[in-house]
Amino acid sequence: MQQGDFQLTDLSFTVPKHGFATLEGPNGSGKTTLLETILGLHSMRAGKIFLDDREITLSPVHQRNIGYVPQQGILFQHLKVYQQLEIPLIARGWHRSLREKRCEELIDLLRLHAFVSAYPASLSGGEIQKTALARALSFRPEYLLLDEPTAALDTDAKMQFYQLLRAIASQQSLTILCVTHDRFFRDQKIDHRFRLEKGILTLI
Amino acid sequence: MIQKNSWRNRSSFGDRFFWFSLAVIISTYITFLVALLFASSFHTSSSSILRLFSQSEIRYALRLSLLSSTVSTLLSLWIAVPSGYYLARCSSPLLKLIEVIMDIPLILPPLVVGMLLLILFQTPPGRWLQSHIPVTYAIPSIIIAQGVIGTAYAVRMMKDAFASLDQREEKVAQTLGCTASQAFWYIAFPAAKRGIFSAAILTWARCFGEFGPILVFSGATRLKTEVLPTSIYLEMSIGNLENALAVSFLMIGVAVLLLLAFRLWGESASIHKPGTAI
Amino acid sequence: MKMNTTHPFFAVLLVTSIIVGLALKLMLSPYSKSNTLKIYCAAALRPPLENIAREFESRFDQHIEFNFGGSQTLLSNLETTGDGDLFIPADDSYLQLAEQRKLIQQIFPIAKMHAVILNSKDHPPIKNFAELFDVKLKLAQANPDAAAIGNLTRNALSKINRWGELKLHTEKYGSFHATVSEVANAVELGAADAGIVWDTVAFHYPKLKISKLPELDKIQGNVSIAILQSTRSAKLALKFAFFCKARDRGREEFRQNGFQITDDEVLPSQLDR
Repeated sequence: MQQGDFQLTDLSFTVPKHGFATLEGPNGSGKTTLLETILGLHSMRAGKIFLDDREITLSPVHQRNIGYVPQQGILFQHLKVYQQLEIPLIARGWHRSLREKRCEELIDLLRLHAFVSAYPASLSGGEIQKTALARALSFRPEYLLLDEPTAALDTDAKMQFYQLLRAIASQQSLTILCVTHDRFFRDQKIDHRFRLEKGILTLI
Repeated sequence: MIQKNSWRNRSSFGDRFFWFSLAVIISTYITFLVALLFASSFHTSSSSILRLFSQSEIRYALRLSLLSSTVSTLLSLWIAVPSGYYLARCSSPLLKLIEVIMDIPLILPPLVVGMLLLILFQTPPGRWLQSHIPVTYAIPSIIIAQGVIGTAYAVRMMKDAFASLDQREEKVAQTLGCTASQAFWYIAFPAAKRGIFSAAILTWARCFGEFGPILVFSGATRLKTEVLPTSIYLEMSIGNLENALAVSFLMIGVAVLLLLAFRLWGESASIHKPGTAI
Repeated sequence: MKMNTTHPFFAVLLVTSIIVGLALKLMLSPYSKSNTLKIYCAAALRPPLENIAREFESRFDQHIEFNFGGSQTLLSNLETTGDGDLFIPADDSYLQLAEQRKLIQQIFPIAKMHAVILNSKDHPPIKNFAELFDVKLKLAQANPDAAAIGNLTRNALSKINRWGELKLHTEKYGSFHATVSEVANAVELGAADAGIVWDTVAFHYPKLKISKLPELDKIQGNVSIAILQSTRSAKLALKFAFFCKARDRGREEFRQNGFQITDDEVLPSQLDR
């Protein structure tokens, strides 16, 4: 694959099902590009991507059903928090009553009550990350990709977010790949740690 | 977010000088615009403006101007919003060429635009179309003439409006299950609401004042293809400067009132949402 | 708070079609097609002809549709559309062009125009031809290639060998304009001190003084009304042409607008043939 002025070649790795994996590496090593390639936002020259035994290498982005929490959240600036959660469900043609039920679940699960009707511009870093997470989970994906989810949070908020994530992951048996270069994750008990540096991917 | 005046009490002399010079430039320009209107106001009177309303031709021209520019603006936006989105989001080696082609109506003298339209509608396909709907020297020609220029303006503005939006939002929407079309309609389109709104206002104003192509392509048939700029032309060609200016002031008044009302309505009707781009 | 789930496309489509539909209905409503007399008329001749038409309409219960514009524009209009009943250009030169293109059935002269000097109110009136060459004088003229009066001025002054001189002087200190009405407007606003215009154009500026110079006296234009080949009702077109020339109808209207009427006239009795 190629993006900008660097290439990622000959990478191969597997995240075991229901596992929690992190992908570490210095800035500019291609972590985000790798993530976005899995999501289908970049095209690949060669290689294959599998979810379980389903090949998605050539699937359109919107059919991959991978939850994605981008760096800095990237919330939809013109929509209220509640509406952010609805977008994936509207896109899938869910009926109104089902949508309402699902949104209530997510609000309870991620404790969004205090700011459901706020616009993203007025949210704190932690609130943005929680909203982005809720949005990514709304359509019940089995796989979740996170890009530097803790970058904008203070230590307490990091711990809070991490614990919430782990709880949800085990409860819903999610397979998680989290890109990060935050030292915070080194002190946590992570199932699988990958490291990407100078185009080489290793399992630590 | 930085508040507008959060640094005011610490502003240095240099800063104040900077803002002061900007204020000088803008007020000079405004003085010039006001002087333009003020000088002309001596050549006409409010009574001759009021007298205009007693003429059925002028009442018709006013109505036609308002309606045709509204229709042209809406049709322009139907072309400009998709085109602008395409230009802002797609990369193609031909993009520069496409943009230049779309700018042609702005480069050409207005009279030439009218002439080209006239010629186009006299070609066999044009004549065939006209055997079903009369275009040349009829009302549709006014809408086409205004629309051609209006669209070129609107495309430029819409391209800038979409380009200033964060493309990552649409990408994220796609990972959430939106098709490209859903990402446009649910994310980019509402986020560009303010840009579309400004484009609509400027396009409307441009269409309202359009004259060159209309004179050639639509003629100046009273009670049929006479819009307000045509009325001004007709008054000027018999040397009636007083009436010509009266119609001009009528146009300015109507346009300023409508645009002001439209903008105020836009402000109140949630067009401005926090964080909306532009 | 919840998303409005109507697809935005349909909302936009609905709003657009309602507005466009309403507007089109309102715009097209005053359309009247039946039995209309279509007249292409020079914009400068609008005042007398609109009055004549109004009287004609009420007397004969007949609808008249005017297309006003510059004579050259009108000529290309009627040529491209191949439609219309009557053509009244600002002067005869356009009728010659139209005749060459076989667009005309019949011509009726209506009135004569003469070239005069229109003086700005800030400048003492011109008393003789020599004063036109005053260095301080900003003289406005119509372009000899674009406007009939300019063309005729060039012809007349070339005969007495003064054209080259006046042209240079105008280029250097004055201005050339595309139409005679722009010349008059320039003089009225004071952008020019004096201008060469038709007496019928000068008539619309009662506050400004007019100078008649013998050198310009030969510059004469005719206003005529022409029945077009494309007319669908030659009888009706002829009736209107006669109406314009009738002593107590059109002639009087033209006279009141500063035209000098041609000698032949149509008697009221002829109108009702």
